[in-house]
Amino acid sequence: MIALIDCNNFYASCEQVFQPQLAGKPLVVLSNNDGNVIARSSEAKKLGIGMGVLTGSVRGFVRSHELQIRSSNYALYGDMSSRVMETLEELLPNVERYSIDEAFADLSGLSRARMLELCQHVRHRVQRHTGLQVSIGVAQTKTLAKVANRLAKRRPELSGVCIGTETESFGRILEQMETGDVWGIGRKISRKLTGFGIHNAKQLRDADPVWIKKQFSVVLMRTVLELRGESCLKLEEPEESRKSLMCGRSFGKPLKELEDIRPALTHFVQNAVTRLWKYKQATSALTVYLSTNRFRKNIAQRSVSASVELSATDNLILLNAAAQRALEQAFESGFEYHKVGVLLHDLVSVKNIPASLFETESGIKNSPELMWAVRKINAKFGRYTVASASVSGSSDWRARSKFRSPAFTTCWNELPLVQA
Amino acid sequence: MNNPNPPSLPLKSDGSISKIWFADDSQGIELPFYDTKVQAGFPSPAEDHLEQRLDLNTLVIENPSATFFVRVAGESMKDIGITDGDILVVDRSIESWENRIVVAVIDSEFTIKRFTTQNETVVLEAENPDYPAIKITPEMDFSVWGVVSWTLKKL
Repeated sequence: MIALIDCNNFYASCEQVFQPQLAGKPLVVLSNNDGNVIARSSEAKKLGIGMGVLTGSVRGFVRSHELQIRSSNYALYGDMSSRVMETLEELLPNVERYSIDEAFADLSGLSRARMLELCQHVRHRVQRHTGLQVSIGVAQTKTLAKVANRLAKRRPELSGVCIGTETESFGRILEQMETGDVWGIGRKISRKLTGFGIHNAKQLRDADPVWIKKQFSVVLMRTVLELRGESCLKLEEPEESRKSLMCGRSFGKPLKELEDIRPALTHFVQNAVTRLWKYKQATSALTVYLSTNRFRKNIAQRSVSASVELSATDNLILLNAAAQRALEQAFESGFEYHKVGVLLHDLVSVKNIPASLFETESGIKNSPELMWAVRKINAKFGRYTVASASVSGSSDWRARSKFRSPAFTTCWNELPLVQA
Repeated sequence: MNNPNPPSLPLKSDGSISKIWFADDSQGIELPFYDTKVQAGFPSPAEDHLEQRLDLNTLVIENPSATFFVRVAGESMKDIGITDGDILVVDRSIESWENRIVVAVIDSEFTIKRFTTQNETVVLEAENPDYPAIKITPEMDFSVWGVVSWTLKKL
């Protein structure tokens, strides 16, 4: 059985933890550049504010419903994310960090009662440690765990945990779900499915996998199988709906030196950027994670993250340089590091970015050849050599984040103030 | 292990430590520095943390994922040494609040006080006679955000 643990309204909730005056209020978080809404508190959702709508279109709510607005604060979200993930890793086996606010875990071998108990314990612990609420869906496959999670969020009587041990029991729920709400199905595929008379997720589940493979792709066929309860390990990323993506893994052996960690990070940045290119997306902020092995109790432990912001880009050189800068910031010698990873935030479609932006940013075009060259150089010199000093400064970015809250957890000068 | 002729280095003439010896590694023998037979001659009190200097984090942070820092504004806790501008280490994972110094949220504001229960009512006590205790009534929006575990004070 697979559990999907997902933070409720993650960005908005991170803001509320440190700004109690925002609790229970309609709150939206804006994209880089304050252009549109990328996250909403449940109260803002109730006002009917849609995902991705332009900032200008919600201004009216500020007066009428005291809508609160915050610019995105990736330093805060990145740090809170790693706190949530660390807490999960203390309690659950095989945690796979999937995105900034989601993780999978393997719950095989537990009875239903034990699973329920464990999931409630996880929810309580994450809430206590971080102030954030999580919902947990458990099912036979990742795709169904997503469905269960959706249910856990929507039905208050479930207290945030939905365990679907019987795959058949998903029928009615799938019937009420649009295909576009199924994990990994974007708008385009959803529209095409509708053309074939497949309107809801149950119809998709019951479609002939071979036919689906022929008409669509092997990826969608896997989704069909997953909906039927057959676990397909190699799942493709959901495309259009994806807000962030993550790449990272533990090292074969502990690494102590910054210069040894750099190539590993470069490798993960390359993987992440390849995935960006695949779906023609760009990112405007990234977080690098670095940690020691928690399971080795006798070594000094350290788990840190650092974030960097830049103008929206899909440029490998710029992103790798930014990631390396974040790594430098996070790194401290004297520890045996076990794991490094990179998280790209605030993904937007490249279409939505003026082309001129890319051209002025860097004359280097993205290409597999470039990727190959970077890898080659790194292999040859065993270190990060192709650093670019031209990463757009964050001061520029800040000017456009008018409503940003302090970096409460990552900056000594911006700590929350408590009245004594 | 013992080097017959350890090179020595005079340090200071004013104090009790006049010399310090270094392990001689000129012959390529690696000496673990915790070995109690090294010339400095003192046993390491922390053999579990070999080759590490003391890290303040290991002292003040027990649960990294649940530990936050906040800054104090005000003097209501000055009698126990918490004053304006201090940085507090707050551990959210501590669940027993009774008689501890807590960061609480009262009507959407962070405050720091001593958590007590008196006749089944939560009373937040100040540590300064100039500040009255706060009795938590059902109308108040109240929660405990975390427990203060350390004070960091710049002198």
